[in-house]
Parts: sequence; structure tokens; C-alpha cells
Amino acid sequence: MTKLRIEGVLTESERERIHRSAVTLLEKLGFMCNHPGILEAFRQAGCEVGDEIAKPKGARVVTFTEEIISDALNKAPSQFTLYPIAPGYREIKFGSGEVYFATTGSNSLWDIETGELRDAVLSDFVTGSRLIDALENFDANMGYPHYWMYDVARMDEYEKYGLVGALMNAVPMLHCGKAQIRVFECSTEQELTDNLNLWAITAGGKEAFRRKPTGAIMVCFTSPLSLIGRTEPGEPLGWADWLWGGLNAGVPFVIKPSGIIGASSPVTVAGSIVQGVAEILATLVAIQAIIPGHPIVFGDFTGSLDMITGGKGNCNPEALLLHLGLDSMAHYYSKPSLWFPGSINAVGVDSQAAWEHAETYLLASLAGVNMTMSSGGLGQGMAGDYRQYLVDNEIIGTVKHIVKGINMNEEAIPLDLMIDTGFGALGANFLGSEHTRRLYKTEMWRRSSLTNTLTWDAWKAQGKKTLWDRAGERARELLKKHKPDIPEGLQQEIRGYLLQALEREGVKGDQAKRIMDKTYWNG
Amino acid sequence: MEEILKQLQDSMYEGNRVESERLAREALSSGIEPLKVIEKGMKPGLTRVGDAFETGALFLPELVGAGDAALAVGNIIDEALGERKETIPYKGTFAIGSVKGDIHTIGKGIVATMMRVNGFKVIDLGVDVSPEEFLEVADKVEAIGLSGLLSLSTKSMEETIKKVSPKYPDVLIIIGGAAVDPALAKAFGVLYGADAASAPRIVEENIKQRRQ
Repeated sequence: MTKLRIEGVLTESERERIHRSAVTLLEKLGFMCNHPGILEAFRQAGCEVGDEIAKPKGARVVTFTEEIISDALNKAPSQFTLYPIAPGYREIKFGSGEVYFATTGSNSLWDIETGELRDAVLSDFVTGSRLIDALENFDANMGYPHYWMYDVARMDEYEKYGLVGALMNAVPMLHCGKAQIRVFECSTEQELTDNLNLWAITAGGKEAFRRKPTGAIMVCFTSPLSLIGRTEPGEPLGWADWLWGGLNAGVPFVIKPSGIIGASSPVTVAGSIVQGVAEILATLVAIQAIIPGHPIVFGDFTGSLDMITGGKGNCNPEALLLHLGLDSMAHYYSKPSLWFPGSINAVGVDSQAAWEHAETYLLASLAGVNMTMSSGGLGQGMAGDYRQYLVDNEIIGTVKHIVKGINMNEEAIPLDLMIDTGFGALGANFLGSEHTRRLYKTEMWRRSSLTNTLTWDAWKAQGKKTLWDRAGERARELLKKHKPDIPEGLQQEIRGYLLQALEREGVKGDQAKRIMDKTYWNG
Repeated sequence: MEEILKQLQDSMYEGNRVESERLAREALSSGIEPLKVIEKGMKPGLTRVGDAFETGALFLPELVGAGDAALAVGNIIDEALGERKETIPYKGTFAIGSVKGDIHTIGKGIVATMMRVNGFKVIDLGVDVSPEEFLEVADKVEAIGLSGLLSLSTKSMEETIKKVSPKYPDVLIIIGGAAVDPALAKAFGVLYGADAASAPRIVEENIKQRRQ
């Protein structure tokens, strides 16, 4: 249980005002959705579902009452556990007061060898997952697979075989045993089914997954206040379809308001908090109508508009205040919370990258956010860098240490030892004491070789390596020696599923082997 | 006479659509030629807006206001020109939409504004725009912009390009948004806009090249 907390982002009366405003917004304006199953869930919950509008096809406006919203809030659990896919890895106890961290992905990757920015490919996804597995402060693996696999997602042969869904989920599970939090950007029902089946394999079956989920899905909105799925038969699935499919398989959901301050949400932080809360509450009503008591997380994919470039900023000061406000509302409702600052503004590994990540991680943890995701990401999620993984892991180590707060247990104030030790002027010190030997590992943050504490002369003698030089070296070392602890049987089951999927699509022989070879680590 | 046009420049700079409309109508009523309203009123006003945006004196909210004002004044002048052979000397006509399956509007809207403020006539097709809808306007434009936020929208982009390009090879296509990057644009054989601010320059340069 972490101890150090930010207080006063919103007072209790301000949180009540935001809640009332969000309810009023859902009563008077409502929420737009076009998914028949989810619309039916709204009806079952007692919502008014309006007439179909022209575009997006099938969309209707749903309006709510305070009673309906309160009922859904009461049904949604305050805590749940997300399990790792392999034994020996950490469980994530959402709502427990602990803080956890996970990674993100990107369209492109700064190549660790050439230093050039290039499209990411499947082998990067293998490499990235192994690094995430190796780094002790990452608690879950997001992967963001569709981004990390240009050679899969964008090559006709893979699309033709309908394998994107299966590969995007299988590869991280073969190389990282941690719990998984994903965005399922699947085009087809088959891809969605593949993803869900693979998760069931990691949990020991579909029913086992419902009891002990090994993965959670994040769902976003078309802000303001719209959750839209596929608009025509045969068109790619959308957010509402992923929610519907995942929910029916028992997948916990991270509901992420997606407003951008000054663009898709009001320019005021408070107004944007109200909109974000309304988006979460509306979705919560549908989820609890379908499966009462289903685990959800108050997520966050908000940001602010850069008024020069028109780009989204996830970690600008006003966006950070918005994140803090939304998290404060999650605490108000006693629900777990997750920040997805996505990525930072800095496009490459530099001082800005370190500063923006550090500020975000520290603020999120001080606010009591259960899970913060974005590690490894740069340039608003458009670029990634393995070196950033290493640096983020180091920053998170310090943050986790700080938010534990000051230990005040019995042996924290060793008065007897202090009296026995005596005066410094007489040569007394604590370095050799048993108390120090026993407690220094928990009382003190232990840096890795990444953090430079050398003297100027020693640093110069070692070639004046920068943080990023050291991160690159450490990444290479880790990749050489680290072996994820994924049970052989599980790996075989996952690869077996992939092979079946290939056969289903008519891919056999050398062609199938070539694809399967890409799922292995060749380092 | 000149004072009205000066006032129109100022109202364009302020992004005041209502005042710009009023001044444009007043200018026409006082006998100023429609194209002079554009050349001496709207255009210099928009140039000031563009310059101020470049130097950081104005930001997107003002730019959007100016874009709205430009659209409104352009419509008034079009109406005034009526059946005359003269037309507003735009740098080109540009159609834009978020492609089929993608209903994100903000990025697309910012690009439309940028193009408008930089002297293009813009046909904003909205969101969830099918390849057929892009095809319908292709004979009226020099360039088409395809916007997409979701990675899945790249499929719709590809379908649109395959539909439009063979029939209208001279129409430039530029793609942009979080879903795409230069490599994808290259694979599709189209232009890439890294951000809204660069779109007018890229389109203008490529239109000039094609005309040469």
C-alpha cells in the first residue's frame, strides 16, 4: 500500500459538483452509440434510447437518470485482480492502493543500432516484449501490437490470411509473462475471437479466464460522448464491437475518456473532467447491465490540443491537471484508475523525454493512480525507443520508492541503536550496524548502472557516456542474457493455436513455417 | 470604399465571421467589384492571419475563426459573381474527409481551415466518407486529403486511392493523421502531410509542379 498522496486537486464539494454535472449532461444531452447489443443493454438498464439517426449508421442517443447511474456504480466492483500469464510474475491488484506501471507502443521505432527512426516490424515486438519481461518495474505489457508490426499489419498476405489478430496477441505472450493490457484494433470477428481464445489459453480455459483474467482491454470514445462500432456489415470493427466481444468473454475493461481539451472537450479542465466522467458513467451503465459486477477501471486517454500544431498533448500541464481530476473522481466513486498519458511530447530520447516521463509518473503515483501506462513511448505514441524503456524503468523505480512514503514501523526509529552508537565527533556511524545491513535494501532506493553517480574524473575516464548511451548498452546486455520464464507447454499451446489459424486460412508448408519463424527470438 | 475593405481585412484577422459577412455585403452594395472584395479585403486579411500564426501571435482558435469567415465571404462573393465568367482566384480546390470507418473530425477540420486560410477553396466532405463519395468530387478538385486516426482507416484510404487515382490520375492525394506515416504514403504512391500546418505548402507546391 502506497502512502504518499496528493490532496486537494478537487475538494469533496467540487467532486460532488462534477458528479452532478456529469449526470445532468447524460440526462439532458445523453450518449451516442450504434452497437445493437450495447443499445439493448442501455434499454435493459432503464435508459431512454432515441430514434436512429442518419450517420453514423445505426447510432442512437441514449439518455440516463441519476438512479440508473447510481445503480451501475453500486454494481461495479471497487477492486479486482489482473493475473500474469505465467507463474511467478506479479499480480495486479486494481483498487488496492498499490501503483503499477506498463508500457506503450508506437508506429515507428528508433533503431538501437543505427540510431535512425524506422517502421517497427514483428521482430521488434519480440524484442520489446523480452525487454518488458526483463525490466523489474514494469508490471504489465501493453505491446500495442498493431503498431509494432508493420510487416504484419500492412502486408497484404497477412491481412489476407486474417492473422493479424492472432499474431498481435500471441507474440507478446510468447516473450513476456506479465499481465496484459491491450487495445484490440481487430478488423474482423475472427481476429477478435483469435485474441480472446489466446487469452483463454493463458488462463487455462475460457471459464478460468472469467475467474482469473490475464488480460484487460482498453476502450476509447469518439469524444464527446460517442461510442461507435462498425457502421456497415463487412466494415472493420470499432470500439463498441471490441467492447461487446470482450465483455461477453469476461474481459475486464479500462474505460478511457478521450476528450482533448479545447478540441473534443471544453477548453476548461473542469468541463473536460465532467465530460470524461460522463463518458465513463455511460459505458459503465451498459457494462453493468450486461454483466452485473463486471470489473472496470476508470481509464484516461485525454489530452490537450496544441494550439499551434493541432496535435494532441498528453502531458502538457493542463492535461496533467485533467488526468489528476479524472483520477480524483475514480477515488470519489471508489473505483480503480488507470492513466494512459499515451506518450510524451518529446520525439526522441533526450532531456525532455526524461523530464516529461518523470513528471507524469510522479504525479500519477502521488495521485494514487493504480496503473500508469506509457513507458517507452515518444512523440505522442508515434515513436518508440528501447532506451526509453530502460530509463523509464529507472525513473519508475525511484517513484515507487518515494510514494511508499516514510516507514514508521517499530524498527524505523531505532532509539536504542542511536543511543548506543553515540556521537559523530567521536567517530560513531551506522554503516556497520546490523540494522543498516538488514534494512538498507528496503529503506533505500537501489539505483541500477543507468544512473550516473560517478565523479567528473571517473565519468570522463569512462568515456563521458550519456544516460542514453548507458541505456543502449544495458538494453543490449539484458537482451543477451534475459530469458523470459514462459512455461514450455504454454508456448506450445500458443504456437499450436497460431498454426491452426494458419491452416484455417489455407496457409501450409514453407509459408506457414516462415510466418511461425517470426514469432521466435533470434538474438 | 477602401475603408470598408480595410475593415474587412481587420475582421478577417479577428476571425469575426458575422462582421466579415456584413462588411462583404456592404462592400458589394457600395459598388465594389466582387473580386476586388477578395483581392483587397479577404486575401490580405488572411495573409495577415497566416503570418501571425507563423510567428506565434495567433493560435488555432483564431485561425479557425478566420477560416470560417473566409468560407462565409467566399460564398457571398460566389453568389455575387452569379453567372459571370469570373471566379475567385483560389490556389486550387481541395476536398477533404475522414475516410470510411473513421469518424474523427478535429484533425480533418484543422487541415480544412489551414487550406482555406492559405487561399484554397475547400470542399469538406465530413467524416466516414466512402471511396465513392471522394470519387464523386474528384472531377471538381486539384487535390484530395484523406484523414484517418485509427490504424484500421488505412484500409479505407487504400480503397479510396485505388478508386480515385486510376480515373483521375492528375488529382493529387495527400494522407495524414495518426494512422499514417511517410512509408505508408510512399507505398500508396501519394503525398504525406505530417501536420496540418504543412498541408497547404505541400499541396500548393505539388499543384504547381503538375501544372508546369
